[in-house]
Amino acid sequence: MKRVETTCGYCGCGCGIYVNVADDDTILGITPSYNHIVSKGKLCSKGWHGYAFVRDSRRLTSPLIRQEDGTFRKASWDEALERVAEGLRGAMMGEDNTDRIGVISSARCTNEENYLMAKLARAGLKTSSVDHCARL
Amino acid sequence: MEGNKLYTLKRENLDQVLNIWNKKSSVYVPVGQGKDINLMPLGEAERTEDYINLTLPVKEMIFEQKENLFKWKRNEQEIEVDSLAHQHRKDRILYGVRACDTYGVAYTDRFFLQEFPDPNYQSRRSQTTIIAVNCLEAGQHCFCTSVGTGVFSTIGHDLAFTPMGSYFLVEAGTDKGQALVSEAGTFFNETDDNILKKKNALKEKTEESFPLKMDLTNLWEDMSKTFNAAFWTDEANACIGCTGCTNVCPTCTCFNVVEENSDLNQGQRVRYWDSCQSDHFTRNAEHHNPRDSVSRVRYRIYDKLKYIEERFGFKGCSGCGRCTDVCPTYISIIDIIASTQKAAKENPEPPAIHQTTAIRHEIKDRELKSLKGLYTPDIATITRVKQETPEIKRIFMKYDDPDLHKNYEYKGQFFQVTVFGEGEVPLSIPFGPDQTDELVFDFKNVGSVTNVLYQMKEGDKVGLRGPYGRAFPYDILKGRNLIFIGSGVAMAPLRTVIEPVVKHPNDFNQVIILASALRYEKLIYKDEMKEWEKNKNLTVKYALKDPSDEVDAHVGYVNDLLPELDLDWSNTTALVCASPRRIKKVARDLMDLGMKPSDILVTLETHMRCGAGKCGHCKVGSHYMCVDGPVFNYEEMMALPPEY
Amino acid sequence: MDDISGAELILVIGSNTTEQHPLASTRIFEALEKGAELYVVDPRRIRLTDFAHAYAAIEPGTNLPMINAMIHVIIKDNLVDRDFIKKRTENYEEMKKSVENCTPEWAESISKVPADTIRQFAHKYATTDKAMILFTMGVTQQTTGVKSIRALANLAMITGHVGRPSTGINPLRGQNNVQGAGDMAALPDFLPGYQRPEWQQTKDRFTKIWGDFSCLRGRNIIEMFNLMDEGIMKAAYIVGENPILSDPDQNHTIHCLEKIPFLVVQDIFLTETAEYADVVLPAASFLEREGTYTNTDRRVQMIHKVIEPVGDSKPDWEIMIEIMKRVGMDVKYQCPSDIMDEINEATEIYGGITHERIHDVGIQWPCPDKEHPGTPILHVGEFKRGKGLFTVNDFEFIGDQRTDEYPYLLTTGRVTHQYHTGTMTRKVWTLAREYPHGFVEIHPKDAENLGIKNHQPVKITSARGSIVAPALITDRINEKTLFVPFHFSESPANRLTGQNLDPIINIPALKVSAVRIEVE
Repeated sequence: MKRVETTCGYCGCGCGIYVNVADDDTILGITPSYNHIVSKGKLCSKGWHGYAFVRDSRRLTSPLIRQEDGTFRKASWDEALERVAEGLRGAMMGEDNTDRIGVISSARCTNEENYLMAKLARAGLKTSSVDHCARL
Repeated sequence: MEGNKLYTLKRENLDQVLNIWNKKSSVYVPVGQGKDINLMPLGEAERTEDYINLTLPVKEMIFEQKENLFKWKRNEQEIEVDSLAHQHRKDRILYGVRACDTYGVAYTDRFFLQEFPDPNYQSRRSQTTIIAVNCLEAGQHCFCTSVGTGVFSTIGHDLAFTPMGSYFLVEAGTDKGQALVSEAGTFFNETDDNILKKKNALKEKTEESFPLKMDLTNLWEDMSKTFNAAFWTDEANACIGCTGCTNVCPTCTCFNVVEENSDLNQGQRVRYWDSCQSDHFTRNAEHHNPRDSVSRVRYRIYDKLKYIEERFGFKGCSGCGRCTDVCPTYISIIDIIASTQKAAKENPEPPAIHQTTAIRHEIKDRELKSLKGLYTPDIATITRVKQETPEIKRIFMKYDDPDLHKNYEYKGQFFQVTVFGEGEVPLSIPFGPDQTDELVFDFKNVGSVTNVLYQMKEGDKVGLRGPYGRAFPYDILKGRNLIFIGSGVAMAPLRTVIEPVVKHPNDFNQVIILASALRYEKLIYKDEMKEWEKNKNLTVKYALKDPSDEVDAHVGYVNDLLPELDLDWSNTTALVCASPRRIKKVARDLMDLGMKPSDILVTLETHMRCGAGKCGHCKVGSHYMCVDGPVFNYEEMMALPPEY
Repeated sequence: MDDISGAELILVIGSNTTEQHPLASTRIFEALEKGAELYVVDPRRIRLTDFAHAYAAIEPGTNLPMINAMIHVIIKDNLVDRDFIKKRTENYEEMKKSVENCTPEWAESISKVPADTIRQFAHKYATTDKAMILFTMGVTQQTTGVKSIRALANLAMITGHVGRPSTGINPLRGQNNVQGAGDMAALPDFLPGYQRPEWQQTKDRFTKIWGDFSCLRGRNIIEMFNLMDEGIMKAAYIVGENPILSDPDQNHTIHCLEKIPFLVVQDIFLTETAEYADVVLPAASFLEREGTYTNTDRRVQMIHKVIEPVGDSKPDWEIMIEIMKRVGMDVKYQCPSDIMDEINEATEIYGGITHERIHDVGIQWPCPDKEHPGTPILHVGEFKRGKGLFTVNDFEFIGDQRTDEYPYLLTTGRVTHQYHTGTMTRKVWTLAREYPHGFVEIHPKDAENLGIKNHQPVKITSARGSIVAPALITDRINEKTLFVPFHFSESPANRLTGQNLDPIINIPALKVSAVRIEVE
């Protein structure tokens, strides 16, 4: 059994939790962190229970590509990423693509990921249209 | 075990001893991982002795936060089921448990291992050895000395350690503990009774150091005078339903059963810790929720301070104080006890009947006919489906294993019917004790499980667990007048008694069936009732909202029919199945006519999930509806807190 | 957040704290224990009102008149902090003139909050030493959102409630890393660390790290969707967002997503938005990767990998790196801490925050270097811009108001047990059990007039569309006002909300939509 200390992924409070994991990798549940500077051992219902979606059978487990008939088919990472790059490159014209390419990042992503999104947008895709859901 | 042997163990040798034990078993010790004290496998992080208590009670190691119950797989037409009472890979030794938690284990042992023994708990518990380390210091919210469960462990441990400076006093509580001592025998030195004086002095000193001291002698009496006190509303307003208090409680045992499907053809049924502090813990498929926010918050406190002890003889609260530590809105059992004592003194209310009358519970170990253990269903095949009314279906089925029919005994009131991949639902048994070759259920499409069941056809497979529950008594009815009162699908549970009554008419005086519904089409057993009526001492009367050409029916409530019945009321038993609200109305009218409340038999079908008095969803006061009920007499029903 | 528990007065405006930020509400309860008073402004009698010493049941969308009237009262009754205004602010006279006519009676006529209640709020706030304001989307998601926040700043400054412990105006962040996403400039008008792309020194700094880059003021989400509608925007890459449920005017959003030629969606589930993608990339959840989140206190904290990514999914950062490589960028990161090293270099505020330093306890930015302990309170002694600037914030009605056709105002929000678009929480049994489906809150009087029974399905219609949801009759909502949570795809509140934006920063007025309601 192990307990992994991490930060709750729901609201902006940023509570401390340990996620308890059995030897067979089953997530058993949460242990609160009494000494966490924000939460002091207290959690809300999302903190206590919010992890349980993780192995839901509806999780996306492979890349999907839309086919001619409108349905999705499973694809390899290589193929999907190539399609993504192709599609994005196809929309790039001239020096700046601010009106042609939009990049929407997420408050669910880490700081590192948001930084990459800003960098990918401005330095890679040459678009300044990068935003996230702060307004919503 | 024979005579309590006493040993000493030098503190400096403890790690060596733990390492010896760790060869055969996995030893778990308190570590200050990150910032918090948790039990972790020896060697994964540095062991600590500097702690008040573990963050989660040790129950998490025996009744785990999530456990698999069984897995199922559809193979063309067949369904295979395997129970999953998971075993630990190695036996576990849990070192460093405090008295409040060992007491908790003593209680959970009592709770899980008797009546319907819980196979998961049983397998884990048999692989677990518990070593208490007694406290010499109290935390901010500790009050074990006030409830009488501490400060030193007296129960629930296999070995108890008391730190005494440079050495530990070691006492074996069980043979299992004694065996551990033998395993590392060279490090343990036997000692005599004189050391107990020193231990007691240490205990007294620690007890004196407790910041919290409460006098709980008259608590139950105080509680009986404050059931509706104003402070409950304040507590309820504050509660945000995080469920933290129950998650960290050493004596909380409720769980919910959830389907986790890999795909349409296979999945597992698992259980997670559940909490009576979730708003919808007690809500049924028809949105009826017997607990509002006040009764929800009050229920937890009553369960901890009264109901558990009333039923099981163990303190329901071991005084660990964790629920107070983790509450985000500062609800404190300690403050609530103080509020209760204050309100009882300053503003007592006359105790309600449910606060003063204790009703019986028959506690006995039950035998299960099922092949695979308590939580694993047996497979049955649907043989026939009949549309009973526009909203009610009748479904006939047989066990796939014919032996189950041979051994079938009618001694219960309901089955738990599994629709694989969707879930489980309790359905009443609407057939008599003589019928053993075929099982029949009548049900309405009201929730997600019944919705799928409603679409099922001949040849489809379902799972069955049961029968569960206390059934209507039969023998005590002999020689009496009987009135059956039921509405719509609520006639189904009554049919278990109607069937034998019809077969043995001479055993009874007058028998009257009062069937009610909105319209005649909505009644179940229309044809059967005409058949039953051929018995000359049996009459069927109808009460319908809309008049019907089919039968001569009273247009109005069933209650209107009662005064016209010419019965010797003192020799009459009524059997009523309806919503609690309707039951009360009918019972009041019957009592006005001269019936004794104990002659009115009712069935209270609350949110029953496991059927075995374990999951806690159907608990009302100190009673589990699925084990003690669902059949009660009206006197008993009134002695339950009004939360059904 | 510890700051909250030290306050003597907590003024909560448009924040259902116990539901949305339960652990921030913990601090409110701590403050109450110590004798603090709680004042609440909200169109709904939220749980906090049960503990409040005063409550203003305000009309949706009318915070600004009430705030301006509070300022008016404080000035008129001579409760201002002259010393603070003189030493630390500018433009006071201008602002003072602008609220001359904002009497409590005038504010009452718009906000329905009794003039005396406004006076009570103003007096209490001005005369309490440690008075702090908490707010969230209930203030910002209105056409006068920015003006309202500026007015709150005026309110705090005239009374000197700034830059000291347990004072100030404090937004609570709704989503786990909304602070960090802004800090890292997932924003059209900033570069990481709130550096303006038009500043030369910023340009130089980033050119050094990033090479050539687009340094315009870009399009925000709302504008991006309009560009899709106009056929100008050709490709979009959406990560971890579900605009079909979270953005206003769902029908418009769907139309835009259908129209855009190339759409990539990266998420953990096949969300309503992903259904419209050309390529869907499976991402790992927050339990399956490493990185940092920044909480509402600006505290940067670690998240750790608990289990391996489910199936063939990958952490977002890994996928992004792959895309960066494939569009020709030179990237050398091996792990998230390498990315953080670059963030240290690119920004002042995160300059000294490394994974190693925050392993045990998070650090609050600004933290310019590796020795800096972090900054618990902003604006101590001096405002970031030097002197605090008073602003003029005149109220005007923009956007939806009640009409004969749409006689109700709809406000939207969340419930405790669900989160944003429900992608995760609706798949957690215990949370889904608490709120299995959406609902619409309606006042008992309105329900009676319309013949609506509890739990009965009702139809709610705005100029944008209609939804059906069961009615929840409760006196916790004002008359002629409705509340619908936006988590539920079967009854999506955002099919009703509109494109009325705050003209300054384009936040949509999700909290105010004119609707009608009828029995289904």
